Amino acid sequence: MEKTQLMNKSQKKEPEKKNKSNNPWIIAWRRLLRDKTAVFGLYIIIFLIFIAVFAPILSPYHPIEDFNLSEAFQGPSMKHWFGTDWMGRDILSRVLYGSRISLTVGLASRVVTLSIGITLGALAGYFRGKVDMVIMRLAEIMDAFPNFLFAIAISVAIGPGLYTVFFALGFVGWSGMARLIRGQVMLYRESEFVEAARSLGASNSRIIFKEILPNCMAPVIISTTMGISSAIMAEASLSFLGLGAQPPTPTWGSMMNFGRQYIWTAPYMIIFPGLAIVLTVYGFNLFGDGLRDVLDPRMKD
Amino acid sequence: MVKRKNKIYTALILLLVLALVFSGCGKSNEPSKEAGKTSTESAEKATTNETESSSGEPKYGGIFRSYLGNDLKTLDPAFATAEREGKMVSLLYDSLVKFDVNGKVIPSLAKSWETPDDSTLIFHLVDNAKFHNGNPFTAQDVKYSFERILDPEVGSPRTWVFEKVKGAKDFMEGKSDSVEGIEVSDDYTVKITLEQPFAPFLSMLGMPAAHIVDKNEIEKYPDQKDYAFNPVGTGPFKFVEYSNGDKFVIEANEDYFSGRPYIDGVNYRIIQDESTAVAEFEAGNLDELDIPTADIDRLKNNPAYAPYILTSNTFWNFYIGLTFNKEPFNDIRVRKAFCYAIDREAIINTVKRNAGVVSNGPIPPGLDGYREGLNPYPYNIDKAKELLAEAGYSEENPCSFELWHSDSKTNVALLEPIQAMLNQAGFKAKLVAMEWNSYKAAVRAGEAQAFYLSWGADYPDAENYLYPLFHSSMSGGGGNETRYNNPEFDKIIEQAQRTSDYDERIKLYQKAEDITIEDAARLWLYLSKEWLLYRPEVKGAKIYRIFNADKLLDIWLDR
Repeated sequence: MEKTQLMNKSQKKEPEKKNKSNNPWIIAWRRLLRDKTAVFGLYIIIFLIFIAVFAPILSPYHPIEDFNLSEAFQGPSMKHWFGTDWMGRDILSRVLYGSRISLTVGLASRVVTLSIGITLGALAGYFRGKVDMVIMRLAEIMDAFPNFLFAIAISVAIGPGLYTVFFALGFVGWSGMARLIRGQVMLYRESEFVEAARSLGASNSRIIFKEILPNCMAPVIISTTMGISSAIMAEASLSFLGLGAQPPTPTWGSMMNFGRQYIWTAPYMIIFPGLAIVLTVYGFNLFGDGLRDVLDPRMKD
Repeated sequence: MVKRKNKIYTALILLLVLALVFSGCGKSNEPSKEAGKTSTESAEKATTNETESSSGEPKYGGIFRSYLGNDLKTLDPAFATAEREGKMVSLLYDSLVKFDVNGKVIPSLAKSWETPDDSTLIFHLVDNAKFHNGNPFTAQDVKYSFERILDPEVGSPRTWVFEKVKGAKDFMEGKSDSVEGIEVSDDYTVKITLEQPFAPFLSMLGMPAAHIVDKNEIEKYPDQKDYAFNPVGTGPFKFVEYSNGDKFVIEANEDYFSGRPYIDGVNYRIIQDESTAVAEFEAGNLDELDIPTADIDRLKNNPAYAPYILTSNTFWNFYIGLTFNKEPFNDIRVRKAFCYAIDREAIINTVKRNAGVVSNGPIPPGLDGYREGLNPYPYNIDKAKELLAEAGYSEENPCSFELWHSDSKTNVALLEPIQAMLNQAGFKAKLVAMEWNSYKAAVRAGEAQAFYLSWGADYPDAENYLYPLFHSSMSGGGGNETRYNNPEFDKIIEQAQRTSDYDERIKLYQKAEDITIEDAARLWLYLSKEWLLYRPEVKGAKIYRIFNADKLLDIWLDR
């Protein structure tokens, strides 16, 4: 915070009208807005959030309760834009509601990753020595398992369900996050502003949370944005394997999993949720790429 | 800068792909609608249950490539209760009698039999049968195999097959060393005496549990469970190897007593995913395909496949069992509400189109005792709501329960609309998918509140759909997973078993059936229709009405 506070002070000195602040976040934001593809990604994300929030208003039908067996397997039409599934439910409505699951899983699993990763990473980087040794060996053990297999194992152990997915996908990512934070914390713990805080008598927790971590935010943001898209992919894969949210919950992965048996006769059952996944992952990747370009100091020209 | 350009290109390519996909799906819709129109015509054409075998003399040789939809738990006749295990037992072992295509009892290891009175059967055995290890088959093996099923130390779930034999109860209780009613007259004659007349007994001898094992082989294994995958029988095929999730291989028994099978062996792969099986068949890697419901229309309308499709109604009766001693289904009002809440007509006619017909009671059409026009629980959502309200449930306090099923897409396709209908009526049903073997074990142990299963005829008699499923002594592994217990039912079915007058017996079956329907212990959903597809070079394949009747002796390969 020290750093940014200093900059805020300098910002106040300058006349407001110039509208050229030195706040690195604002600078980054401006640079981001100049990146057309990143903005495109951002639009996709905003669009998806809009859909997720307003799904009940946007959906022409209820995704679960509005079933009608006599209208099963209808191809796309004016009445059902994306067609209907095997029990006559509107696929459009189910895809719209599915965005809620996907985005929730993306965010919730990142929250799990962040909380475990930041805590352990900061402890390891700050205290070094034995703490570091133990935490980093744990992280290495985690890394020895292929992430997705580990998530499957967790899901099978706890039993399939939406909360299982949050936890399983969040848990498998912590080692990478911890390593990232550890590196950053090690970098800053010897820096002058931390020395200053320490000489003023600040406690360890204050130094970690108030001084060091705020300065590590850039890589965390990049990694989280990129992580959301892989979490969404992983959720779809888990649901595809029947380990995600259970029927009748509409999730893109389970819709595709189920639609697969009708792929020859009713391809729209698998195409539309598939496209939704593609669009979401594409949006987050574009935005994440853009963020990295502007936030990662190594990428600065 | 280079990077930017790349991103724009990817965006463009993506748009192009989207455009292609969208235009593609618009077109592909039309033929599928066309297909829907013509489906009824070809359904009429495809009513055969035998592939043509007229083109030339049967040839010997060739490996038949098939698959199993799940792992096998055992190949020991004493424990084979699942359909696929029973089928495999029939290939490896023989019983005294077997069934023809229509379910009629025909000779097998017994070349003939006589019935001096209503409760005595004398079997004359073939004298040229040998076990796969070379040991000759004799009457002693029959006695050993049958007593083994009753032996409490073995713990077979099929003791009821032989319980009616004289002295069986004493043997099971340890009061005698052998079963009085199974007498070995000489090496090739067995006399079986029953406690009282019991007409279905002869056909029960075709069940997996009545297949003949070799004492020497069983006794090799201190723990009987170890015998499960070291089977040695007299059957037309010998065991080669089995590995879970991978394959099951058998080879022709050259010395089979009634002549070796045409094919040299069968390679069963274990393919759990139905779509994978379809893809494998279409790629030419399988000779046989049990067509999944989702693909029936498509395959039967494909001229390349249509001539090689066999179809037949089966005796498989699918139901949802409601566990009697578990909340919430210990209340008859809740069970009845459950039955009224489901529009079976609508579901079966859409989801199970081509693959099933609505079932209204345990006794299936094709067996004496079946009554047309029986429809005890027509769809009536208001009545369901009323009954639930009476039982003390309301919108704030819905009747919630878990409906367990073995994990497959076909099951989910059927159960999801059922779940939706239940929820409309004021239930709160949760579907729980489980792996088949653990599912079966949990259901048997009575852990499920409600479960989806089926029952197929072990022998063609209506009694087979009543006694094992509903008699209080059959709780658990016997067949009465719902823990149904009604003394009145027990009394009537026991009386029916004793009755030798045929018409009288059928009347008692129907009376017993009515009681089970009134108690709503199971909701009968549908009777399945089987669709099998073969490669053109497969000749002589048939659909047998009894599930374990096909010993693969007719099938031959023209390649």
